[in-house]
Amino acid sequence: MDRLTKRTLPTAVAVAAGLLTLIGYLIPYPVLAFARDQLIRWAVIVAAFAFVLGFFNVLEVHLRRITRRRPGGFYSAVLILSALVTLGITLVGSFSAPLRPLNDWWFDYILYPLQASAAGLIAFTLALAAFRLLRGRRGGEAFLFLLGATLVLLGSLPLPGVAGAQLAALREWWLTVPSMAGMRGLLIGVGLGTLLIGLRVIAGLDRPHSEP
Amino acid sequence: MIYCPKCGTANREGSRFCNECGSPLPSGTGLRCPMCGEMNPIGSVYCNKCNARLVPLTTPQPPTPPGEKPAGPAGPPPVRGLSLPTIPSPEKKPPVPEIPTGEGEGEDWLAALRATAEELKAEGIEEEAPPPAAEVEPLEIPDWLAELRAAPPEEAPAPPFEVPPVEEERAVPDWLAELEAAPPEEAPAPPFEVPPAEERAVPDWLAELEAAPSEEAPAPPFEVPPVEEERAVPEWLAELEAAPPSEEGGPPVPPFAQEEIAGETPPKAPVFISEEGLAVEEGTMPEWLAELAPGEVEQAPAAAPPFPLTEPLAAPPAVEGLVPAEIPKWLEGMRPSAKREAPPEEPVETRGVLEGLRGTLPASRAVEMPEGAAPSLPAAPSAASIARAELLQELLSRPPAPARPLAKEQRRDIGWVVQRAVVALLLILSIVAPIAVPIPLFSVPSSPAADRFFNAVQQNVGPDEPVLVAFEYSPAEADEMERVAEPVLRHLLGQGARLIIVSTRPEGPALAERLLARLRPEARQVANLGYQPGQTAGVQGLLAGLDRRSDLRTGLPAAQVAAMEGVHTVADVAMVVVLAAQPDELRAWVEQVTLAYPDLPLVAGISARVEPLAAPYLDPGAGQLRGTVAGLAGAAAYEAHLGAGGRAGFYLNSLGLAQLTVVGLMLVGAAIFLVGGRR
Amino acid sequence: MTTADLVGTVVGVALTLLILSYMIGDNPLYRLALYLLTGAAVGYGVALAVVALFQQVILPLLQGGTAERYGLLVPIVLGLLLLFKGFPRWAPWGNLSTALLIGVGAAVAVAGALLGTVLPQSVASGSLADWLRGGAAGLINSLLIAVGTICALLAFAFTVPRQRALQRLWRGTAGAAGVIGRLFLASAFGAAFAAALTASLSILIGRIYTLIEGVQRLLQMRGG
Repeated sequence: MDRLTKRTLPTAVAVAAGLLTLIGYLIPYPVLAFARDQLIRWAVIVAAFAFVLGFFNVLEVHLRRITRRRPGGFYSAVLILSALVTLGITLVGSFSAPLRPLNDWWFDYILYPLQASAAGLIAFTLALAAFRLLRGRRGGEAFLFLLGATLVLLGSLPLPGVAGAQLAALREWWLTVPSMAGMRGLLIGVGLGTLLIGLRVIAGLDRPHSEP
Repeated sequence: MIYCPKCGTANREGSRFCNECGSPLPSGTGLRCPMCGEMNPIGSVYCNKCNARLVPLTTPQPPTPPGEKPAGPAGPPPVRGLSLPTIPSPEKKPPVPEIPTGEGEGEDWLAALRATAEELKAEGIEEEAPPPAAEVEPLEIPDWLAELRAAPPEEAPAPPFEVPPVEEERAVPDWLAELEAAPPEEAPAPPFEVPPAEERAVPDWLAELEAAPSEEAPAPPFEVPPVEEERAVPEWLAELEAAPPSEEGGPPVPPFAQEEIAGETPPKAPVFISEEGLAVEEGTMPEWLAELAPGEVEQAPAAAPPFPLTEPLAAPPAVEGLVPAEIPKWLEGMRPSAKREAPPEEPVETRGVLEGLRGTLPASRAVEMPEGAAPSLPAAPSAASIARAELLQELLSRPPAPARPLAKEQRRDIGWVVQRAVVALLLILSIVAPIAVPIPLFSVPSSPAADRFFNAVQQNVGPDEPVLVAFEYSPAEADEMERVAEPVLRHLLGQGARLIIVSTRPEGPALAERLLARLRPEARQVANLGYQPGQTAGVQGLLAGLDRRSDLRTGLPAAQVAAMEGVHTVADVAMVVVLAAQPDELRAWVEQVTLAYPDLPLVAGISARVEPLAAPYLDPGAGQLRGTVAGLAGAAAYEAHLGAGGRAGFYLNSLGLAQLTVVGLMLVGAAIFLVGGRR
Repeated sequence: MTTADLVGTVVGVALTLLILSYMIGDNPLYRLALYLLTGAAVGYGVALAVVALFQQVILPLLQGGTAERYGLLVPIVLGLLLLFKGFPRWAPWGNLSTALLIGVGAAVAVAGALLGTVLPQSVASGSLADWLRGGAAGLINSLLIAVGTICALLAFAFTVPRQRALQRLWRGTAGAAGVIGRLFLASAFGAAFAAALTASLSILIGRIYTLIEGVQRLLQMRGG
């Protein structure tokens, strides 16, 4: 594949689309706003295609793992089966009202418990982490970290009594003063980073789209 | 197969960690960089670590036009080609670089090719091989050579197509990633729509899952856009484990990431959480940490030669295309002749040839070096250049990786098991106990933010006014988020509002229906406009085109639904309610709404996890959020406003007790580690 | 309770237990559930993407006006090009589609970050007049917030001036500010850690309650 299709054209597309969209935000002019909305609409549709492509890739990878008899082939088979069945049931349920209950059943009793339980496990790993929080670290930062964590945990559901109310007030203060200052600095930092990287893409300096 | 040096288990080709015992595996044949000693996958043009060129610029041109190549349309040749790998001559002649078509061929292509050979064999080579041989060869070789010189970076095994808009957001996290503790903000928004690259990576994740013994595992699933994160965590971890010393030693970053690192990495990022590998090493992978991972991974896959990338890409067609081209003329000449004409149908032969060839390599350096060891064991004294000296210096200036004695490791493992058991038991007990002994222990918390939320609804939402409700959570977070969403929706419906439901999560619309089934609103009060792919861009797409969608409940175009009367864009609604379980989603909504409609009232029902991040937006000075209901505590406070008892309060005792338990654990742990030192 | 619900409850309880079995240790059943989960999540996601495509592409093609149909040509072509990514030889053509995604995504993110976070948050700390309005406590808090924000931001300072003299000055000031900033960051991270814990505890509680309810229902079935 030559350089043109591989790199030049995509860069041109990215730069043009990025500039048009950005200008559409910054300059209030109906035609520009229309172009911006249209571009976003297109991007969103392409994003849906990306999902489909990704799905096939997953299938392919796991199919290969099965056919090559690599370890874990059984799990791959489970994954593929689970993906296909879910896809089928969900599609059918989305387009045919009579079959909707099947869809709902699958969602309520398969998808939901799996995802929710896996998320619940995090509490366990985080609690373990909490126990080992100070392992090998000291100093002001560690102390503030511990203090913040303790306050936010203890204050969120106050035990009855004066001490409980004071803890709740302290928690509120912590969240709205020191913690918020840190968060705001972080947010602005993240925002600036986003700006920097986004502008580099729009200027054509970075071409993540043209990496193989 | 790679056999584990520690326990002898056979692992699949390309594995980096043993499936059985988790210890790092020798990386197999590789190409050692003359400059820094890094082991690179064969076929790399540039060193992954120091970016030195591994393939001389003056690659000899094929003496004859490629068209005349022996690898004609006859079946066998391509396969023979497969067996002709690596370093052709003792004087460090480079291996055959890959053809660009190989796309991210980061893998040890020997392995890949061997596999292919087997595959071809299985499929009957005659059918597969010949046509591509004829077809590709004349074109590809020159092309490839040209490509090689012209645009080498393209060869870098970077994930093809990661990085949609989120990339930006994710990229930032990158530098923050080191903070690890840095929670939500950075939580890399799931990439656009799980682009293929992400999914491609999955196998990696799965592979690693097996390899990496355990604890990271739980983290993956819940990060919602399923695949992306899932891959992320383990791979990232793997990356950490695999090459701890080289981490910042200038790995392989693609130009893009490089920029970032050079430009942004805070030289002294606070690593207080990670420095000891608390989370990683111990396997306790906090979720927020996991969320960071994708950001990290962004550079990781580009960095290491991730075989997984190849897997999906080196689809049969690719290989077909590749095969003939792998043998440029000049190489062809060096090929030991007769034997290799043996019928390719025998995979054993292929292998045998490999072995034979391997013997001719400038051996010791290129074969079977444990990946992790490569940088820290600068063995070959050959071309010690400045670059390498610098690298060494850098490595030396870093504290040595703690090489723990095995016995100690095991002892710690026992302690670890005990810790696990105790923590699990305490947690479950503190959650279950309040069911058995139902005494209200905790008072209903007060929440100024929830009060503001309540007032904002009272002021802005009248009967029959449309409200946009974004369901940005999935089943993973629904156990908490439904408690938050329920009182909020009950209030809105009680005000007579019309609810217009949207989501940028696939499961959002279904979860909305689940909740509404309990609240039983009138049909004309609700329009469910479904799922919108596209993440942040999706949010903006939603805001601008509500009337272009269709209603899931009736199947009608949105414009014809009663609840949507007079609503075209979000500018026509009285208020926006975001039900966000993850910090990034809240940020995306706040940013996009502020951007397009700065005066639109925006409130958020959020997971407790998002609360600290919401604070700056909630601050009256910024005024971007008019109120929040955060977690079960916030929901209980909101229910108190509504008067009727709700479900959130139901859980308070368990939550409070569990929180106390965790605080206890934290303080006891702190005391132990403060007194007992590092252990 | 219908049969479907009964079966569902059993299945749901079983799957929950499989996943939670991880607390005891990693095991094949947990693995199994994890792969089941991944597959289901992927399958569900792609199904919804297909539905979205149907609603946003197919329906308008069938029912929309001429202009709308032509307008859809571009994303359809780009979407199909994207599928070329599945075939290595043609993959570069997919770069065009990726480029659109990335270009638009970058613009949306840039605009959002600038107008949605950086600007509003930078001015959010308010003026001195605002600070004084809150009395002594308000003044101190506002000061803390302003100083904390700036220092936390400086903790990420990534550039260093070229000139030697400035460098030293910069290191002195920004470095000191960075140290303070990291204290504020640590406070924020501590809060975030606790917040993440609270959220996941809430989810775990929900799971365990559901589990208990499920078992109770099954026992009732057997008893009644």
